[in-house]
Amino acid sequence: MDNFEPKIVAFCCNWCSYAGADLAGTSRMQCPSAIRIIRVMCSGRVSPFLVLKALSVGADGVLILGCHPGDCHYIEGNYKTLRRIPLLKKMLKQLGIEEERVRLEWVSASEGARFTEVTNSFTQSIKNLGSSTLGHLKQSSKEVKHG
Amino acid sequence: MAKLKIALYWAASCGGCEIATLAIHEKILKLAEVADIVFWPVGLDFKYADVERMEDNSVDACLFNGAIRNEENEYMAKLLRAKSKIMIAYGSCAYEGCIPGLSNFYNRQLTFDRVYIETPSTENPKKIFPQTKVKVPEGELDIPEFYDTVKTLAQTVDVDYFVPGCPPEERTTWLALEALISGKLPPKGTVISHSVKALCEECPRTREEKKVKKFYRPYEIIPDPEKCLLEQGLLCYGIATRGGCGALCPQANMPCTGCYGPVEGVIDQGAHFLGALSSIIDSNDPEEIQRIIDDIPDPAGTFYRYSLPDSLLRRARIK
Amino acid sequence: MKRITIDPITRLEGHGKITIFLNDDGSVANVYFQVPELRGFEKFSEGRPAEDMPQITQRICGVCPEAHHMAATKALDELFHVEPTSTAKKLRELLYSAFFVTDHTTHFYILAAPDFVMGPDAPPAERNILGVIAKVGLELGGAVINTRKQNHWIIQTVGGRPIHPCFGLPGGVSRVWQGIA
Repeated sequence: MDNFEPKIVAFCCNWCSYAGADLAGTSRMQCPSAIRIIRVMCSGRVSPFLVLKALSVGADGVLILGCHPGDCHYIEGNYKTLRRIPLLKKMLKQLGIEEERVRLEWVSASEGARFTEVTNSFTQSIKNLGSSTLGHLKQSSKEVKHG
Repeated sequence: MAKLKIALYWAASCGGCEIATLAIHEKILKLAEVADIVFWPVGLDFKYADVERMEDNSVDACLFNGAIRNEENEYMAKLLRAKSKIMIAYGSCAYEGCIPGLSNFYNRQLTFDRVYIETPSTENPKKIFPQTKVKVPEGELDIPEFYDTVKTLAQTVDVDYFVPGCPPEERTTWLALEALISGKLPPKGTVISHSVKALCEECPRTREEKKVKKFYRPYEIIPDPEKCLLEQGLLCYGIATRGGCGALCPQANMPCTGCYGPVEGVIDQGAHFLGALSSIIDSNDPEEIQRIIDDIPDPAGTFYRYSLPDSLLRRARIK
Repeated sequence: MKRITIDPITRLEGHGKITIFLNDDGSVANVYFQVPELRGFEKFSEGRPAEDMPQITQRICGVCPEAHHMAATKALDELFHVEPTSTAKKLRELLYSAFFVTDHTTHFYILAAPDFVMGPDAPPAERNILGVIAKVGLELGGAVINTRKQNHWIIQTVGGRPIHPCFGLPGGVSRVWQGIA
């Protein structure tokens, strides 16, 4: 477990959080190597399908970073995300995937420090949760012992 | 002209797809004129050994219904695939897993514990489970292995066509049979239905604006008979379900439950419905949004009611 | 010991296998009946909303879905402590009557009649509804089809769909009588 290096997909919106990530980088702030950034134009583009796809191919955690409410480049996009993620998390919990594995945060273009803080804290919480593929689709032994 | 040879089989099925095939009523006589049914356990006495004796590719088409739950289902799927030129996943179980697919919320151990020990009317003090092999005084008996995870037909063998529905309605069944009889088959992989769009296109209810402040369970309201059920707060799945059935459930004042599978091009029907429902929630306030979501009692079971095995995650993860 | 396996058993709903062990003199030593199927409704219904039970449990059987649908609907009546209205009771009974006429027709003519009309010693290829129609006459086929078609119409008109209806709710049904167009 100590050697567990999580794989985390971070969907970052072009206008705010991706720029914030850039700022963190140019400011030489330490960002965990567990994070794989995928740039989208708006956090509203992150459909439930994308999050489930990331999880199904082995992501241990999915981070969605968007503009603060009211600041969305496309006005309403991040509100759509705001409605979607709580319902998705409720559903994931029923599917045995801890709600903590998906997180929605707002990070603006000037918040390089916040980007670093969010990615570090999320990576740590995923490390604590462990790999998400524990037990998934594991083949059972042929004989089921009597109860 | 030689008659077509057609086989029909049921895996983890309820038999509804057999009744759905009979639901073409008098058209079955047209089918009988042009086709011989070489295997159909519900109605004919041919056995597995008869199928094993058939030449490969000697059956023109196999209508396979039911999900792949156990070793026998898998064996028959592979056997019939080898013996048939065309393999059709007929009905939601073969196409997406359907209701038996809900078992993917659990696993074999949890299922067996409940079925053979915990159920109130079961008396099994020695806690005996069915075994794949058991010795009796005369010899040895075997039954198929029960898998942890329900699979769809296409996850087991190569499938040529899909006929959606639980079960497919008469018009959908006839669309598929007519294609077989006439030889005018669509491209391989086609989901055979009258529609590629969402059920809303067929539904006679009037649609205005979708803005929902509260979701209701079907017994909580008496819906207006003319208006869209989703707009009235019922969890109507029509928005994310392929049409072709004629919108029968909404016309019975009940929300669509999604049995015709996803709209053309959609991979994960549950994710699609989740996104659609989220987009009509009429609020930007996190607390209010949470209250609205709290009114949906069983998101995973409702969104993946028929499609859990075919979803991206395929099953719940059990530690 | 000689062994005869009948796999699968046919002309019924469900999966079954029969293994017959014979002594050397040909007499039957023992017969075993096995059911090689389980789907697990007892478990996967857990966690589903109560009002989903009529539609989920009816997928136990697609030949008799109305029976499961009604049992689950009546359980909902008890769960919610409600008495169905008189109209709802009549509509439920109408659906149920149409169901058992269809079901008995299906069972008698398609599933069972071949044993009585063709006989158990008839060749397997003839021991089915087509053999029965060939022997008794085409009108029988027409009568079976028409009876089932008309009763399917009642089930759809009352219950919403001809197979796997959707109308059961605690305390009633979802739709009033539609009338005959």
